[in-house]
Amino acid sequence: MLAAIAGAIPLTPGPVALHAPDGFLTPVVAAAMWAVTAVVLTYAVKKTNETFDERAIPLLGVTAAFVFAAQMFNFQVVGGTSGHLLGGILAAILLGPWAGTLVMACVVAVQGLVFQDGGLVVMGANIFNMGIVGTLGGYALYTALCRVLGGEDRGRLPAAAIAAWVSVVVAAIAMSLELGLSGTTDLAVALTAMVGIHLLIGIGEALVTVAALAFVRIVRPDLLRLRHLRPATA
Amino acid sequence: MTEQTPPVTTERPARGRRLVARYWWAGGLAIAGIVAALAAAFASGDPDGLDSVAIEKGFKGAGTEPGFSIIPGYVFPGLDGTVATVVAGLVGIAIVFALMLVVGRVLARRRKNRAG
Repeated sequence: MLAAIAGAIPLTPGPVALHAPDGFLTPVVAAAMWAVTAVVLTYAVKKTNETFDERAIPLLGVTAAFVFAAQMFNFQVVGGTSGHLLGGILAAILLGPWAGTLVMACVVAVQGLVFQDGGLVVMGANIFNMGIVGTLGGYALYTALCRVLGGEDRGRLPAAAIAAWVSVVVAAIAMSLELGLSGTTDLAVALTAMVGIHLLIGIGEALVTVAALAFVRIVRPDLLRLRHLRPATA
Repeated sequence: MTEQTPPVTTERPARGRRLVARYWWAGGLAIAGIVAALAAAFASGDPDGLDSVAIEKGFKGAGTEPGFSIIPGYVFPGLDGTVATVVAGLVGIAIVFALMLVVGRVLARRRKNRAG
């Protein structure tokens, strides 16, 4: 049945691909998403600049490397459909939401520019969908859940799992809205198919995110505290 | 590159521990490389991958093609099969790693300049 709804969007690059190619969004929608993305990234640069401690620089690079590699790893979901990690919540938990957003933007930009994975005109939308909306929204949810669960040390994994799952669904909703606004496909059809399949893909996102965080917790727990470091203000 | 607290792994020679503490990111990159290699291996043996779905459903050509191509579809030009994708993955890992190091340096430096 999911395969049926997955096939209901004739115009997506595979219902799981959140990497839209050019032509999927109208120029107006694409330009609007570029504007939103530019504003958010500018703010992310500013916030990162204010809070980024240079001891976290290697983690910034390694997180980007891992997210890039993990996004290549399409896992089977259902009905000949696959999905892959987005990684925004993982990046945000390791680096904080703003540096995490920059990592995601970097990965999506390189995918589009170097690997022709995702169009350039729609890159603003791709960055927004995969790197901004779920990352920032999901991180806000993560911190709220950690508070409810009695602190980050106790709540980290369950909160990360839920936030990761939500971030994927939110990304799918954003993509659907853009497709609907562009008239590429009917909004209701897009939402049904995209959200339907991403409810499942989000489970993969949650599993990988939790596994990665658990691994870091075991081998290098100090890395989990890097995002709380602040540069000394002379 | 950066100062880190020593890792929690025990029973290492002091020098080895310092090296691990300092160059842990190399281990992180190795993990990313392994993930990319596994991705390449699985993708090559998996007919249900994203591309084949798109082809099967007949919407692969719906989007406009980019007017340029560097390493299209994670297949490094001139190489075949899994190897081409592994190499493409390693190139991508190197690019994003280097880019984010630069971004980190720039943002950290700006902070220092402003503070000083």
